[in-house]
Amino acid sequence: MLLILIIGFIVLASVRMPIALALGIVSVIGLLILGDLPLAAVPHKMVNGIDSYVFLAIPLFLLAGRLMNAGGITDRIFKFARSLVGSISGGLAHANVMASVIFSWMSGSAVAAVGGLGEIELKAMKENGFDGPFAASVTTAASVLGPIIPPSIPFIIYAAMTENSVGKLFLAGVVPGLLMAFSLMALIYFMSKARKYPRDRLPSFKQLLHASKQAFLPLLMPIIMLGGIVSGIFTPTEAAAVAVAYALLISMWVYKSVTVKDLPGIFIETMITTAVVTFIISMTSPFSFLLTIEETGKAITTSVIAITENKYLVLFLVNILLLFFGAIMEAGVVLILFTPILYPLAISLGIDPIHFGVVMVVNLMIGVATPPMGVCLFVMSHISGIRIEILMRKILPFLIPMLIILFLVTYFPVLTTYLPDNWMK
Amino acid sequence: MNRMSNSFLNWVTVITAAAFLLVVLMTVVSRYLLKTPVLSSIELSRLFFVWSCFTAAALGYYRKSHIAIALFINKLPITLSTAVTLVVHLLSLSFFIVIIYYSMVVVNTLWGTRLPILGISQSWFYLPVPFSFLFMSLYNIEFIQETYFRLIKKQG
Repeated sequence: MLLILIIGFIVLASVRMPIALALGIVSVIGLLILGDLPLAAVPHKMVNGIDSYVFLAIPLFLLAGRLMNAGGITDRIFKFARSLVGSISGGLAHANVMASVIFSWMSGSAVAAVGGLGEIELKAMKENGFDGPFAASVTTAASVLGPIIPPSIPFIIYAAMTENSVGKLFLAGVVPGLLMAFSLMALIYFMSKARKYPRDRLPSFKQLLHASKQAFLPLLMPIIMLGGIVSGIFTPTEAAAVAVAYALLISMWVYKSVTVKDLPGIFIETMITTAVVTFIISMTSPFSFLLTIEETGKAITTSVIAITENKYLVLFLVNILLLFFGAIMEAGVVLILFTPILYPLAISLGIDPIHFGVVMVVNLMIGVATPPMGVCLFVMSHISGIRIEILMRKILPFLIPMLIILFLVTYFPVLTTYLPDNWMK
Repeated sequence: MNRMSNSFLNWVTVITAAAFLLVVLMTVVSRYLLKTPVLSSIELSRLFFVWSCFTAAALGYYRKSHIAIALFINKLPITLSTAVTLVVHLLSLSFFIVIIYYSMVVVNTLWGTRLPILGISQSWFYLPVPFSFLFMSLYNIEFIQETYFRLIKKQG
């Protein structure tokens, strides 16, 4: 029966039916084939699939990021990043990565990073003598950092689906995210030296102080949020709500760039972005229910273990699988579809659940910048006006450091588990 | 008609989203500032969240924001791809009707069951399903009309 459902899903999804609806329809068909279960199980499971307090953090983190973006903080962050690293060879490209790292601590989405900062970064780089495709590739590659560095929407989804700690996953993403940023900056340094890209003059202490003062309030937000989660003051959902309150405060009363009139629109856009994810999660729930009845997860685990019990080999295969699907499908969809299947396999092989979550998310985030379907490539092509084929070619060198970091994260679990094991109980 | 329903759904989404944000914030304030934890806050915020997600899902359906793969259908001749789109819409409408019917079955079955802390009927958690799928059906009928007329025009 599973084969019929998978073929049915592929056929429906390939004719532009929304993926969530395709999942719902095959679940109804699956229940009809089984015959002995009521169809009322579908709406029941749909609600249960998203009825989790942890999921509330998704719209709240998105809302906080959106308010900060509307509040004009992206410009301040970019200037601050430029004052920090602009004097290194290839200055603005480094500032681009650094600004993405800083913005990542406030936003959990790669598309938000590429959309929010993208335009400012591109404009500044082009004006300073960088060629458009290089500037666009750096911005796209740096957007990958958004969901790896906390807060992260994919980590919240994984945590809720596997009943793991969001706080631990957030901490586990810190080292891989920073390593990825440094590796991108190293590549940019060598490329800039070879191509003789410009760099800024070393800023004076006064300039540095001014840029820091301008960025101070936005920079306080991740400190309050993550400090609250790690110290146990807030749950991740509460931290996200506090982040929204803080973002409202500074965008409405300090910077005065958001008014009460703007709020309904911001709320609606945030909820539609959230619903795109939660609707798929909701429809995956009856589908997962069918997989459980059919003992599919158990069957996959048994088949894989029959071939090999070597967890390093299995992790290698998981990487190949997720890189492939991440490059052809939207990362969130792959995460929601594959977590219920791969998680039991990982646990049965003794892989740390937090480590496995980070491996999955890093894989899928590389996918958002990988041809042919990486969503950030398309967003960047739209923003920059650079043809997608050119961008797909120019991004390739930037995938190399990312894949090296993926290898390190996969085979050195300490890189992900050290912080959560030592900083959180 | 759809413009009015859209505006109504917009407001339901905004109100329920603002409500769960306020409830979560009140939880933090009451725990740390007033030193009185609000027991019902988690249940209440989850309820508003579920409502907001389903109404926003209907809005997303109207705006065609839900993730779909257009790669293969774009390769088909225009008339064929329009016909396939019509079939997809009809299939979606059948699915919506099935879900509306069976979600009402769930709502009726659970009407007498109370939520442990809030004390209201558990059906409140399941009501957003028929509610949002009803709007999706209305939008879907408009899509069917549009696609049908486009198909007729192409053939004519």
